[in-house]
Amino acid sequence: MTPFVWAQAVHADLVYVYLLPLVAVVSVVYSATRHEDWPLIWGRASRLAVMILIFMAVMLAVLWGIHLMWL
Amino acid sequence: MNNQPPSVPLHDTFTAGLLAWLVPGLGHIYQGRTAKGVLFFVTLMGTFLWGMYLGEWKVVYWAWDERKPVVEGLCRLGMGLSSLPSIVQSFRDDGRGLPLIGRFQAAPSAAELQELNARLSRTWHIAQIYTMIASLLNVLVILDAQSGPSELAFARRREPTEEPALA
Repeated sequence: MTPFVWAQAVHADLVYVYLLPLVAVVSVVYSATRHEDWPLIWGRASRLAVMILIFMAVMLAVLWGIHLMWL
Repeated sequence: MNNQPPSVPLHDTFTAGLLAWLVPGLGHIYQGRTAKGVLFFVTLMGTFLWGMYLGEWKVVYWAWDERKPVVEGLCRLGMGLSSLPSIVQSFRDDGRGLPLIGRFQAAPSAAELQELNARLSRTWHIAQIYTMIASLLNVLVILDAQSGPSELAFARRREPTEEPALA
């Protein structure tokens, strides 16, 4: 793998880093608009963030599988 | 253990909703829910400004011609004051800009948009997504300022009315 291709691959992976702050903000804001109790807000926000990440990982795996099998 | 959701002082709900639309969290601060207001302000303004930074401060704009970003523009209406300059700029697109803010949130030319798309590539789209999601989340914040947290709103709806039914 040439340094240029390696750099491109690293950059492609780095794009997913932008997902993490978005997931954190969506989870915290959504939970804070549902509840008024702070421990409940943080607890639900953490759970929602984990659920979003698991869902997206599963979707990524499914799409990757489709890509490998049919494309 | 008390499982009842805490009561929330909503004050004038129209004013709270309007303030929440203008500046994320301001409606909550008006209601005395300062911690929540600060949380919404920091998270939503942070996300919106980070998106603008990623898009080199040109990603938020409005135009009435073929450059019109329909979906993004509609989403960003939820952000109130933060996206209002783009609407105002669209009515005075003479290249000089407005007093005080200059060309801030003015629509880039078609050639400039093409160049930004080509040069920033995915980062341009990520910048758009950041600003759109921050604006859409502010709609939830406005609803929270107007009617309280949804657990409380649902609890109120479930409570049987204390007034005797009219015959």
